[in-house]
Parts: sequence; C-alpha cells; structure tokens
Amino acid sequence: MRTDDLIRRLAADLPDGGATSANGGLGLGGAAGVALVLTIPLSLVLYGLRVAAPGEATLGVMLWAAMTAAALWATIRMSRPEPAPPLARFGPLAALLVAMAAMALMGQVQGITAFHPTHVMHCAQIIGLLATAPFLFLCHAMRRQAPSSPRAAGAMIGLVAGAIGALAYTLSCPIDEMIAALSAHSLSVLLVAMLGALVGPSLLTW
Amino acid sequence: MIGHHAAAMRETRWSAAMIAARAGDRRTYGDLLTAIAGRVRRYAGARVTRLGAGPHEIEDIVQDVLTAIHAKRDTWEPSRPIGPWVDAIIRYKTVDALRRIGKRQAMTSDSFDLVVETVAAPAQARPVAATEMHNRIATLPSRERGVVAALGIDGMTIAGCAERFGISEGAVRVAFHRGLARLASLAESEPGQETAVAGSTGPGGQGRGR
Repeated sequence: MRTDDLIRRLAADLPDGGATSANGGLGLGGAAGVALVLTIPLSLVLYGLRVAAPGEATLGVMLWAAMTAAALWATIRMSRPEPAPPLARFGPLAALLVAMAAMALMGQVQGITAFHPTHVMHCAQIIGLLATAPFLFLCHAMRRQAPSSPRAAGAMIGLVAGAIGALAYTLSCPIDEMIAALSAHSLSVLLVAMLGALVGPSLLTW
Repeated sequence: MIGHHAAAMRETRWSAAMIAARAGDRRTYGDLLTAIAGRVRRYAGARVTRLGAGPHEIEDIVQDVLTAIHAKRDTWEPSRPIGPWVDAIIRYKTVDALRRIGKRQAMTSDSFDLVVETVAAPAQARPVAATEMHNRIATLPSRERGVVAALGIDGMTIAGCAERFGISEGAVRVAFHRGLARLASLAESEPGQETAVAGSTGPGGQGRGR
C-alpha cells in the first residue's frame, strides 16, 4: 500500500466525534486498585489472617504499600513513548535492592539468616501466585499504552504485582522473625520483577 | 536560533492539528500525518540507508510509524509537547526496523555463505556431501526448493530471484530461511551427516557452527 493511501485510510478511521482519550494513569491505577481489592481477600481466604505479631504485619503492610505506590508511579511514567526519567526507571528497583541489603546486614548483626532458602521458597511460591492476577491486569492496561522500553515496563509491572502480592501475604505469613519474613518477601518480589522483565518484550511490544 | 523558532512553530502547528484531529477533523489529521511522514523519511532514511536498505524499507518504517501514531494517539497528553512524543515513536519504530533489517541481513549473508560452502562446494572436494545436499534440496517444498537452488547454486541475487518467481524480496528471504531450516533439521535427523549442512569447506576447513 502506498503511504498516501495509508494516510487517507487512517484519517478516514478517525471517529466522527473525535477520539475518546484513554488516560494511561487512570487505566493502570485502576488495574492496580482492582488487583489490590481482589488479592487481599484472596490471600486471607487462602492463608488466613496472622494475628501473632500485628506490629510486624503493620510494618510489612506499610513497606509494601509504599513499594506498590512507588512502582505504580514509575509504571505510569513508563507507559508513554517518551523516555521515563531515571528516577522512574531505576528508583523503585534500587529501593528494593537497598532494602534487601539492609535486611541482610541487620540479619547478620542479629544472628538471623535473612534469606533462609526454605522461607524464600515458601514465600516465592505464594507471592508469585498472588501476583499473577495483578500482573495480568496491569499488562492488559499497559497494552493500551506505548512504553518505549517494554522490558523495563514489564519489570516495573512485575514489581507492582509482586508488591501487591507481598502486601496481601504479609497479613498471613507465618514466619516469626520480621527480617526473615521481609527478606523472603523482598526476594520473591524481585523474582516477579525479573519474570516481568523476561516476558515484557513479548507482551508489551507495540 | 532559527532552528528553535522552526521547532516552536512546528510544535504549535502539530499540537493544534492533533487537538483538531481528536475533535474529528480528518483533513487536518491527514495533513499532520503527511508532515510526520516527511520527518520519518528524513530520520529513518539516514539510518536505514547506512545498512544498505532501500527506499522500500524506509517507506515500511514510515507506514509503521504512522500506524503506531494513529493507534497510540491517545497516549499524547495535550498538556505536554507533541514533538518529543512523535520523535519517541519514530525512534522506537526505527530502532525496531533497524534491528529487523540487521537480523535479516546477518541471517541472509550467513545462510548464503552456508549454502555456497556446502551446496556449491567443489565436487572433487566433497562429492558425497554435494550429492547428498542436492538430494535434500529436492525434498523441499517447491518454492523453497526453487529459491534455495536459485540463490545457493545458480548464484542469483535476491532481486533476480524475486522477479523469477514473481514474489516479493521479503518472501524470497523467508522461503530461503525456511528452506535452510528444513535442510538443517534433515541433517540433524541423519546421524553422521551434520557436515553436509554444517559445512566444512574442504581440506582443513572449519565447520561453520549454526
């Protein structure tokens, strides 16, 4: 097809009343909101509410709520074709890595194994499961957008989905030591983000 | 100074045109797309020509960009400048096309070398392998057989091959690649026959790993 013909076709394809503007922020924010509303009750139904250490659960909820918000902001910034600022591209991931390093250090000081393989395996499976629906919702919303880096956008969506999964599971996680629980959750979230980076180009290329 | 002024003028013009397009003004939208097409030709043309690609590839990129702009027009926010938005889409689609062209060229030149090394190797050097290869080529579906033979044995160009078979150059490349893939899988399924496709070119020649 000649380019002039294509232009004529595209112009003719314009709706009569003009386009309905799809706000990317609203779409992604809405998807995250719906995912959060569904995932928390799902986790409570499947794994029950942990009542043994409410203080630790509160800290976990605050941490993962902050991570969800930061990663969601970054995801929205990455949803447009223009390159996202470095703070959006690397900020949330860097914060997660710093938090993991801090937990490893604190664990060493307190004589606790921060990244216990059994804990990590247990939490990674559950958080991965809980993050599946949020990941799919967010990918669906992101496919209407135009991220200039599908891999980075996939990683960030993984981070949001993982943080939502961790936020939900924090209320149920049976691990007693706070550092062990948080570090296992952090590693699980990181794994979901890595998975997002892996599948991002296939799902989000436009 | 003049450049800044021109960019500012373009920004104003394009923003107004896109806002009008969103209100349903098809004529203005067509003009905007035409203007963007010119910008893509300049940007992509300079990059794609360096890779030895022709005007068809440039026009493919132009059409890719225009289609993307149309599909993703709602991702532009009127409160933001339109120039960087358009440029980002042009860059994204051009990089995508450059990657595609580069991969295709690497594949075509690798595949071509491979066939030249194996199929058209001197008969005295590898009489059995050459016969074997001819037999295998004969088992390919007709279009792939014709294309592999024309490119690898007759030494035709891709353009010449496209003309002979009445298909596009892209279709020639695809048929060639598929034909080679079939030959490779045939070789793998016959133990001890890998060299026929993997291609040691004669005394002391090193196999060309795929």
